[in-house]
Formats: sequence, structure tokens, C-alpha cells
Amino acid sequence: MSDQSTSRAHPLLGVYGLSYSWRNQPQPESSGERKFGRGPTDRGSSGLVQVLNQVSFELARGEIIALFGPNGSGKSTLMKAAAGLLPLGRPGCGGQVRCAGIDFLSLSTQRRAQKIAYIGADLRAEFPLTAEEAVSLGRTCSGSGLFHPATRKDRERVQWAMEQTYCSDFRKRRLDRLSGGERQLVAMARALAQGAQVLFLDETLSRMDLNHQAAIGSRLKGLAQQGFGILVVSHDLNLATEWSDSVLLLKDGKKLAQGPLREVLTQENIGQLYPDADLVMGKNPKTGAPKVFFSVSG
Amino acid sequence: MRKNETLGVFLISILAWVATFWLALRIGVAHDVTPEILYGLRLPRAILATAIGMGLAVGGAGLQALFTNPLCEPYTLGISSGAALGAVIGLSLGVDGIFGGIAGPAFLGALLVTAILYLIALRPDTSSSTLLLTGIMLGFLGTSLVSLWLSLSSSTGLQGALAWLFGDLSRARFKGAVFLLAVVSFLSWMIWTHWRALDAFLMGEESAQALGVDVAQNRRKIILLISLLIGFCVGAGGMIGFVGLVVPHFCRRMVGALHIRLLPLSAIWGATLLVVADWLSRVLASPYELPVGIVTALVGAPLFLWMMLRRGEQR
Amino acid sequence: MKQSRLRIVRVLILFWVLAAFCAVNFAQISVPKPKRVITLAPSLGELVADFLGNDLSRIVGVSEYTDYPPALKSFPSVGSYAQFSLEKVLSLKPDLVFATMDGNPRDTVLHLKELGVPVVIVKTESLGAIQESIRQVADALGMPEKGQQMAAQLQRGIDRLKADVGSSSPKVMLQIADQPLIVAGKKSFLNDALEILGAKNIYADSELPYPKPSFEDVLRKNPDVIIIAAMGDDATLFRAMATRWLEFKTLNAVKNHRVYLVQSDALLRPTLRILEGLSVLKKVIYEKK
Repeated sequence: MSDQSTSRAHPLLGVYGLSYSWRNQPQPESSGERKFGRGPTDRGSSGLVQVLNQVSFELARGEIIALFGPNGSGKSTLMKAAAGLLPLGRPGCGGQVRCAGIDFLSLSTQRRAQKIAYIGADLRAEFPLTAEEAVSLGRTCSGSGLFHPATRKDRERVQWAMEQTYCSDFRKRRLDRLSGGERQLVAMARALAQGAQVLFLDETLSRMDLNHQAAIGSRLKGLAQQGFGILVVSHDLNLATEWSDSVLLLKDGKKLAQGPLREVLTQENIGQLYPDADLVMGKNPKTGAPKVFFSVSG
Repeated sequence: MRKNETLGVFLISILAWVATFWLALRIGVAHDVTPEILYGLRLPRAILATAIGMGLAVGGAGLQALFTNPLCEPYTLGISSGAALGAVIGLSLGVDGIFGGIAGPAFLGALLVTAILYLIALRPDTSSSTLLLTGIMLGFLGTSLVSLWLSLSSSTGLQGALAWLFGDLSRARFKGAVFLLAVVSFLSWMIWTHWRALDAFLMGEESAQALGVDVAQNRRKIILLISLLIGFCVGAGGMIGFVGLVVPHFCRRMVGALHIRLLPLSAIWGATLLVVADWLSRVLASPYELPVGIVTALVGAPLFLWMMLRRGEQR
Repeated sequence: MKQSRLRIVRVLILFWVLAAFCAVNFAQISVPKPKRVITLAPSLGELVADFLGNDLSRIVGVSEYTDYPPALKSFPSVGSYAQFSLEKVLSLKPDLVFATMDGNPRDTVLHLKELGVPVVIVKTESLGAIQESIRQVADALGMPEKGQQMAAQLQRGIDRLKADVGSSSPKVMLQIADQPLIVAGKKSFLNDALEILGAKNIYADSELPYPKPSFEDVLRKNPDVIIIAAMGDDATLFRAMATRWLEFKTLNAVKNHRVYLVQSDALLRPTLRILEGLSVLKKVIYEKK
């Protein structure tokens, strides 16, 4: 266990030289996708597809990073690999992840879940779980004893998580009776219930309506102020820029740029990510946050 | 609060089991019940039905969680076919044991299939769909081999094997039944201790991993336990279907999908269902006996269909 | 993982220890003059009824299809010989049960023994074994002399039939069922019967008592005589079997019009009545057309 001073000195999350590859990944056949350069083009001699190539970045306490990139640039893979969800032992894979100075990848699965909470785009609802039960699953990593299924601390944490994400109203409703957006709120609550300081949101807001997105956005800002570190993948550039501090641009498995919003979100950088879109940079008249405007010709 | 409700549900369920157990002891083919009949025939059968019903229900619930698929059955993994194959071979070779030559070889057959599944599950990047498909294929292979073996062996052995294959609790002996109950209870309890992992699996493997569950390790352990459980159950009573599929479904409606309550309740209702099914198999066409597997199918399949229909309506 | 492996090993050991413990040794209890007898096969019903003569009330239960002597048809049934009800048997409180290895489920019979019921198990895989079974049944009923008499009678009958057997040694196929085709094979007393009558059973080389060959195999073996053993009163089914063979014009049996339908309740029961069946068989095999 690192002592207090060292943990404060290290960034909340440090990812160094993360690489990941798949074997024999077939290139997509559709001509449309080929035109837009979909998919990593790096093909090793052994038939390996290098999805991530030596990506490094740091996430500070209280920082919200928005992760942007075209389809197939490796955003999801980056998050999953950094969260320890992908095995890094294969050829073409590797890298280091440090959480407040500790070697994250050498921890047990349970300890990892206590440090980084990864949430995907949807919750599977094959079984009749209520929203509350689904959120309580977030306490799996807390390791309460066998005969004490829910301690007071567990219940309080679940309660808090549901309040943070506006789920309390439908706590007793079954998952399969919730809308897509509501399920995403539950997913977020579950992640918060894990008690991790680092949150990875992998397109978790994609189905929420504008109200909820805005509300969750401000919640995230609040959590960051409490010391959380948050990494968000979103396809909605303009919305994510409202509550993120910095931006990480990923292209073809490599980091293109990283830094504060206004510095990195330039016409040039965005143009490199999305070369086929007609772009104009602008600003939110109220907050001054950089915005990207696309126009469609014809 | 919720706790009192749950307690009530469990009490009623246990009462249901007690009632069916009593029924199975009281009513049967013979009208004049001697101690031999009661203690030598009916009691061992009721105990055996309790044990097997318990095992199949817990095994079914565990498999459904493991594969995030509510339609999973103990037979989906092909373990019952392996057990059946082992037993048929054992019968032909005249191996003698507690249940007249079946439990040991059946268990070995189930273990063989489990070993194959285990080897496949050892690789860290195996998905559940691969496992499921492998299980189905092994099931086909096992059943085909059983048919092959039966067609090549002498006719008297065949008669015995055919009756057993579709579920036959008539061979129950007291000591063997009690022993099986102990084994099933032990294995079920071991599976129950994995309730946290099973709960996490309910939302998918990736989800479970993200929640902090070592998917590969837990999957291996749970599969091994369930395979042992099913091996013992099929070895003792033949292939009995629908218990593993229907009972967990039914119990989820009563206490929810979380396994800390689901597994014990499924155990109770699995036992109850099979005690009733065995009783029916004895009394419906006496002095002939219907194979228990057919009775559970006749009881379980319409029940399942009704549940599917209700589910559709509630949407 | 090691921990659970250890646990499993312990379970396995427990399993085998208990299995050994549960293996029961049965002492054969003998009842000098049984008053409540149950027979688990029609042939056994016949034998016992034969020995008991008018004292049929000592039989308290029979298996299904026990129809000879006809009086037995109305006796309480314990189920078919392939699957009889233990509970029914026990509820009749027998002091002696007769079972046969040729048809009764082995484990159920063992179970009966375990429950303390005296059981006599007979074998009928050859004519010699039938004689032995006759003696066994008579002994168990406390009438050894009757047994000796009947066995001797059987022997005399067999000897008589053997005496003037021709030397032609025709190739015979004895069919006992259709769809699937079932014939008499090596380990059945029917095979023994055919041998004694000097015929050559084309399936004498099969290890099974009642093998199920394919039609093609029969065509290959080309029997000179085909005998279809019809059971019961309804011969229409068996007649259909006979007509089917007639379509295979290459068979010697068909060419020489030697496909026979024989009413054979007597032939198929391993009792004294088999003599009747045997003489019919002999006539049929050596019939000059």
C-alpha cells in the first residue's frame, strides 16, 4: 500500500504504452467503410491487427477527459484494456497502467473493480432484475461476507448512487421495462456503487435525452470536484465538450493529441480525425466552449 | 418489509414439499401398506426424488446465470448425455453399485464431458456461446453413442436401459438415496457460496468482469460443481428434463433473480416437483410405471408455455 | 482451485466407501412349503400351476399375459415381465417369488431380494437349462419328485424327437417378431431345439439370444426354411410377415414354398409344453412337398 504522500504525487490514473492487437481481424468489405478509412490499417506480418499502438495518457484527480475518434480508432479497446478487461499477454499487446502509483494490472479482478469502474453502452436485461437489484450488483467487488449479503454501507452506497443518477423514481421497476436511456442511468448508478474513483463511460450517455444528458453532465462535474477522474467516450462531440476539461483524440490506434479543450479542439485536429466531413469551428455563445459545426453538401 | 415476505414464501414452499412428500408416502399402487413397502420402496423413492429434484433445479439455475441465458438446461451442456452414455455402458458390462450398476459409470461419463468442457473453458478468451454450442454438440454426440450402444447390445439389457434413460426412480434404495441427498446438498451448498459471482454473471460476462469477478476462474469452478451435481443426479435417476429449466424461472417470479434466495428456493421447489412427478408416474398407470422424464415434460412444458405467454402479455 | 480439488477427491472417496458399505449380501431364505407364490413370467406361471395342480389358490400373483392354464388369466397381475411393480408384488405379501433371467429386469429382482423376499431365479437358455429350471421350481415348492418326473418326461420327449431325425440338415431361420426383425440366436432355447432336431439355425453364430438382423443379411444366408412363430390368437400380423418374405423370390425357402406360419405359444414357453412345439417344428422342417 503506497503511503499518502506518494499517492498524492501520482496522477489518479496513468496509462503508459498501451498496445493491443487482434489476430486475423478481417477488414470490413463495404466500399463505403473503406472510403472513410475505417479500421486500423496496421497489419503485422503475422496477421495481427494492431488496434492500439503505444497509447499513453494521464488522468488527474478531478479531471474529465473526453475521448474522441472515428469508428474503429480503438476508443473502446483503450478503455477496456486500461480497465483491465482485456488480457495483455498476447503478442502485440502490452503496456502499464498505474492507479495512484500502484501497478493496477497486477491487482486481482476484485481490487481492480474497486479502483476503476467501466460502464458500457447498455445493460443486458435477460433476467427479471429490478433497477435497484442491478445497482446493488455494483457492490460485488466490495467483498462483503457470505452470510451478510447487504451491509448498511452497501445499502447506503446503492442509495447514494441511485440518487446521483436520478434512478430513485424507478428503483423497483424491472430492467426490461425501462427505456434505453433509463437503463443507462442504472448502468451509471451501478458503476458509482462500485466505489471506484475512476469512471470509464463507454458511450454510456448515448441514449439519454437532452435533459438527462445535461443533468448527468453536471453531475459528472460535481463528482469530479469530489475527486473523481472520469474518461468519457461519446460520439456527440458538442455535448461532451460542455462538461469535459480536456480531450484525447485517437486515430488508428494512436494518440493524435491530448490536452485542454480549447487547445486541442482545433479545426486542424478535428479535420484529421474526420477528413471527409465539412467542418467549421465555433463557440457556445454562453459558455465559450469550442463547438464543431458540420455541414452536409448538396 | 421484504424480509417477512421472503420468509413467508420459503415457509410455504417448505410446506408444499412436506405435503407432497407425505402424499408420496401415503398413496401408491398398494392399498395395504406394509412396513417393507413404506420404508423399502416409497420412502427411498421420495428421498431420491427430493435429492435429484434439488440437484437439477440448482444446476439449472447455475447454468442459466453462467451463460446469461434463461433457456439453459443441465442438458444444454451435454452432461446428461455423457452420464447416460456412461450408465448404458456400465449396464452392459454388468457393473454393480448402489443403484444397480448405474451411479458410478454415469458419474464417470458426466465427468468425461465435464473434462472436455473444462479444457475448453481453460482458455481465457472463450466466450459462453462457444461453450454452449460445444455442449449442444457433445449432447448430440452422447445421445447418438447411446443409441448406437443400445442397438448393438442384447435385448434384455436394452429393456432395462431404455426404461432408465427417460427417468426411473424405481431403483431407489434407502442408504443410496440418503447418500445422494447428502452429496446433492453438499454440492448445492458449494454452488450457493458462489452467489455473488452468479449474480454478476446475470448481466453478461463482460459486465461480470467489470464488476470485479474473475470470470474464467469462477466459470471453471461453477461448471465443475454443476457437472458433478448433474452427473450424480442423472446417474441416479436417468435423464429428467424441465426441472432445471422451469423451476428457476418459477422461483424468480417469487423471490427475484438474485441467487442468495433463488438457489435455496429452487432447491425446495425442484424437490417438490420431482416428488410429485414421481408419484404421478407411479399412480397414473398402475401397475405399470410411466418414465418420470415424460411426466416432468408433460407437467413442465405446458407450464413453461404458459409462463412465456404471460410474459408476452405483460409487456 | 486446489482446495476444491481436494474437496472433490474427498467426496469421491466417500462415494466409493459408501458404495462398498451399501453393497448388500443376501442370504437365501428358503420357505419349506410356500403358501403365497408370485410368478414373474407366463412360463413360470405355467410350471407352478402344473405342480400345484388343484391348489392354485397358493398363487397370489402372476405377470401379464399369463394365460396357461386359462384359470390364471383372472389372477391379480403384477405388471409385465419386463417391468413389474415392486409395490404390487410386496402388497400381495408373497413368501416365494419366481423370476427368470430371460426377461425379468435384473436390478428390480435384486431389489426384491434386498427387501427380504425369497426369490428363486431360473435360467432358460437351453433345453438342459429348462430341465434344470423345472427341477428348481419343484424343489422350491417342496415337491422335488414331481420336478424329477417332469424333467425326465421332457427328456424322454426330446429323445423321441431326436431319434428319427433326418440327415438333410436344412438351413432354418426361426423368426419371432417383425419390424424389427427378431430371430432366435445362439443363446436361446429355441436354438437348442433346432439343433436337437437336426436343423441348422442360420443365426447359431450370433452371441445374442435374440438378434435383429437386416433383411439383406437373411438374403445372404439364404435359409431353406423360414418359420415364423406366431404368438397369441391374432395371426393377421404374422401372416403379413409371411407374405413379405414371399416377395424375395431368390430365397430358397420361397422358391421351394417352405415359408411356414406356426402357432407357437407352446413353442415359445420354456415349459413341458415345448414338446408340442418341438414336434410341430420337426414336422415343418422335414415336410416333404
